[in-house]
Amino acid sequence: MIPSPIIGACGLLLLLLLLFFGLPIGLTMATVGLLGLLVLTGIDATFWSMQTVLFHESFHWVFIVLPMFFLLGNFAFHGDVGKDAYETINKWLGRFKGSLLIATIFACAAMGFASGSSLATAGTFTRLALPEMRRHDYNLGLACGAIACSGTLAALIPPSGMMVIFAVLCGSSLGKLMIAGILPGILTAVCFVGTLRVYLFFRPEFAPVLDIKIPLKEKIKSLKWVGPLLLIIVCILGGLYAGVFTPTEAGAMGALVTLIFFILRKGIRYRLILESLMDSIRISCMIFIIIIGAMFFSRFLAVSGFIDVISKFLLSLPVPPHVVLIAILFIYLILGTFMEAVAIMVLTLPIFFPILTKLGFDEALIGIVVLMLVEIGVTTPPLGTNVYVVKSAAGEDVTLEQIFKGIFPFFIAYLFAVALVITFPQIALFLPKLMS
Amino acid sequence: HANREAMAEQAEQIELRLATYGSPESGMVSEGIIWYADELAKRTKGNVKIKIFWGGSIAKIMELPRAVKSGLADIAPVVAVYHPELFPYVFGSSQSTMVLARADLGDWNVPYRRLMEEFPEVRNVCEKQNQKMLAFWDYDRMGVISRKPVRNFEEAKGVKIRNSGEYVPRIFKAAGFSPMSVPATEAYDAVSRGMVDAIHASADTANKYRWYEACKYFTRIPIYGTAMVYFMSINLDTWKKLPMSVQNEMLRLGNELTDIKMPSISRKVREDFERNFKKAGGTFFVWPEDEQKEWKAKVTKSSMDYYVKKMEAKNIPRLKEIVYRFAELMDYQWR
Amino acid sequence: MSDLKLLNKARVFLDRLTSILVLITAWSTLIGMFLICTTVGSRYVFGYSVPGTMDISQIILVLIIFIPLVYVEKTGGHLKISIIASRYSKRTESIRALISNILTAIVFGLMSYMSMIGCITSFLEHEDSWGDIAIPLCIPKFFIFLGCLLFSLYTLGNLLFQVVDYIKTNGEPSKK
Ligand code: NA
Ligand code: NA
Repeated sequence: MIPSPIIGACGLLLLLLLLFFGLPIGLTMATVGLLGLLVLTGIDATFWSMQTVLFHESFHWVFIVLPMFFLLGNFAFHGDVGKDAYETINKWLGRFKGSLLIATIFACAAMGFASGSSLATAGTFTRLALPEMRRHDYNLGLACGAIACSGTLAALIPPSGMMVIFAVLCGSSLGKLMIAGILPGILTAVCFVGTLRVYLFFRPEFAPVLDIKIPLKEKIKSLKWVGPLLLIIVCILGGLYAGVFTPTEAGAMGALVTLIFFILRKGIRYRLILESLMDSIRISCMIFIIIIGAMFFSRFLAVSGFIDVISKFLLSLPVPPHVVLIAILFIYLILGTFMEAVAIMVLTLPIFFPILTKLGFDEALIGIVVLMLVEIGVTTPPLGTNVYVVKSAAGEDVTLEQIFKGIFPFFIAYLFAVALVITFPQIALFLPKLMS
Repeated sequence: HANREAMAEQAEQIELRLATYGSPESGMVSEGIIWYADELAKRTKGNVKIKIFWGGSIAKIMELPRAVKSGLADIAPVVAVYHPELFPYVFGSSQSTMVLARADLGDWNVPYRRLMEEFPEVRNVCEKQNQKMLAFWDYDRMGVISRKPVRNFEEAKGVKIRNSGEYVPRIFKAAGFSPMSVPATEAYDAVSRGMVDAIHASADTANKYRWYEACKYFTRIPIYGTAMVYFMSINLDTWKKLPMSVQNEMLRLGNELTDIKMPSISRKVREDFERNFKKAGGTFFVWPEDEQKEWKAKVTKSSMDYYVKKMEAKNIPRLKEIVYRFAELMDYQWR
Repeated sequence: MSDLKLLNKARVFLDRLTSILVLITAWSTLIGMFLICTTVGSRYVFGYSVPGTMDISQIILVLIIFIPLVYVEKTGGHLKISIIASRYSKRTESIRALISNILTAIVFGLMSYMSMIGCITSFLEHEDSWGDIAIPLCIPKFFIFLGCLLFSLYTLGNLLFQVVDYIKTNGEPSKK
């Protein structure tokens, strides 16, 4: 009898092989996961898993936020909300290198205060910002990379679905965690901008600069066009913080507000509305089938005990606390490449959280660092759900490989931000302390 | 001969998969199963190992009974109240029968065992789902945790309260509350921003989700006793393959969990909560006696009958008889 | 030849059914949006939340996830990593496509079969949703079955045509 962790390792290898061979991602993860379950748990359990995973991963209230935010993005796209806003930004800051990218990063951070989902934010901004960056001849891979990474800010900045999962898994304070996330989220955005500027220094052709000077009068006149985008974000923000709706409902409310803008702007145009709807369900279907496939795979990995063995081995090495911490961070980075974010937390936190708290790290600090690492994972190949959602929404003009290449500067920035938060825990812990 | 040796070796090292939700830190269910797993390993001298899969990593909370049925998990704690169609007699009816008794932790155990003796339907409820019950336990008394004082009918009028399921909202509506369904994971946000004013909570959930950080008042509503909600079961095929000695040990341990360990864990969780809540500046209230009676009169019979009617429509045999008998065993006084 | 005609007819029928279902799903998404917004509004204004909002939204979500499977395949395909695959020769590519189709047909075929059993069991057990109104769970389970079935049949059709093509051209990779 082969030990089950080895079967887990073989499954992982097979997965990577088939993925790079070019089979559809969701299908491949489901197939390997089911094969693994078949070997480890027998035919009854495998067949049962088939029906239950499909049902329980789809009949799930919190996930409704995704299609709704995609809908928001599409209405905004067809209602020229993004176009207008970016036109204005370009008029004001177009002579500044990479201005549209920087605007996107900060807009995503702002949206992070209104959206609880990293995927939803990335999908929304692909529809909002990408067409504009395309029009201004920005490098598409880099632009998509920026959106995929900035989308993750929504998970660091409250509200955040991932924070809720962390808090429930670890029994720590959600309130404290939410406040702790604000500064690291903003810091990460700033790091993005920093590395982006450095990157553009070597690759100036990736972000063309506006070469005509625009008169101040026109600039001021154009300001009103940022209005709709700002108003949409403010509406969601206001509703959330006034307790009118929950982060999940925010998706639908945001979509409604955007639809109203769309109708005011263009009238009731059934064709465009239908197009928005069709595109939203297309992106949702594409991304969910991958999430579901990833669930099959992660259940197989869980049963195999592969991750337990690896982690326990690494943690059994006789080393000082900070090395343990770095080892754990490293494990998260590796797991992030091929596993879905929630699955990683569910599988690892019961092992790591007690170890880290025993070593004396603050719960909220652990939470923020883990969230940052898990969110790096949603942008790294081969399984990077945020990249997939950007690709689904972007269409045929850009390939997955280009986007994964475009991730690079932001990946570095993310690591830098994590290092900063670990070295200066006050970045995370200052605000919660101030509030209590 | 070699074969028998191999079997003896296999019998020596048994590993069972236990699927659960939550994490080691997340409350009484986790504490109970950890105790069970550790104790079983200890008493079988390490021969039987239970490997716990946390956080729904192999099956989510709603999937657990069927995960055991299919054999994906060998053992799981089941929140039976979510599956009235599978476990209809007492576990499934818990939501409607909560109002029956002033039962406290562990008070249900003797009557429930009695019911199992009297009715084969109750006895075989798990076998029918290809599993064997190892232990069962109850959910602690529930109350209202709120941002503003909610001490009586007058103050309850129009108070937006978060609860879930089909029966509990009906019960709260009868007292003047406005029930809202918000998922447990969003309840913290909802109550701290004032989207709802109150949450229907037990000590365990209030602790786990830290609702006491946002709510400063807790009103005990003693028309609610504890409720039979959980059991732990093992896949029947797995069970039959276990050596008799291990089976006996598991059953003995299960009874200990049911009768001693779980009530004491729940009591400790209750005390923890009371301490935490007071430390966070919270105040406890009790719903007035006469209003309790009035409320109870309004909802008990109708809630039970609603359940019975619904389950009878689902062709569950002898349901009314069994549920009413249980009420009797719990000393409920029909008026 | 007449077999092929029948096959074509079946395909046209399936195509039409799929597009109608996708249209229904698309408009349901809008209905879901309005439903959630109505609940939010009525909760805020009247302190009353529309019963069943969560359950109905979840059913719509099931539609959104499983009904457009074929539509996604037709409009650009499901996501795959093409870093190596984009350099394949025509022959290797057709092998890749063949494997992909076979796997899809098998896996989604099995999934639809299992979902059908799940749907029937759920119906017989009278399994209801755990919400403020009890909705029979066989409804969303049926949609999962339907979505997977359509996708599996669609791929099976492609597979058949691919094989017919292969025989016709005596093993030369087709132009398409
Ligand atoms: Na956020
Ligand atoms: Na990744």
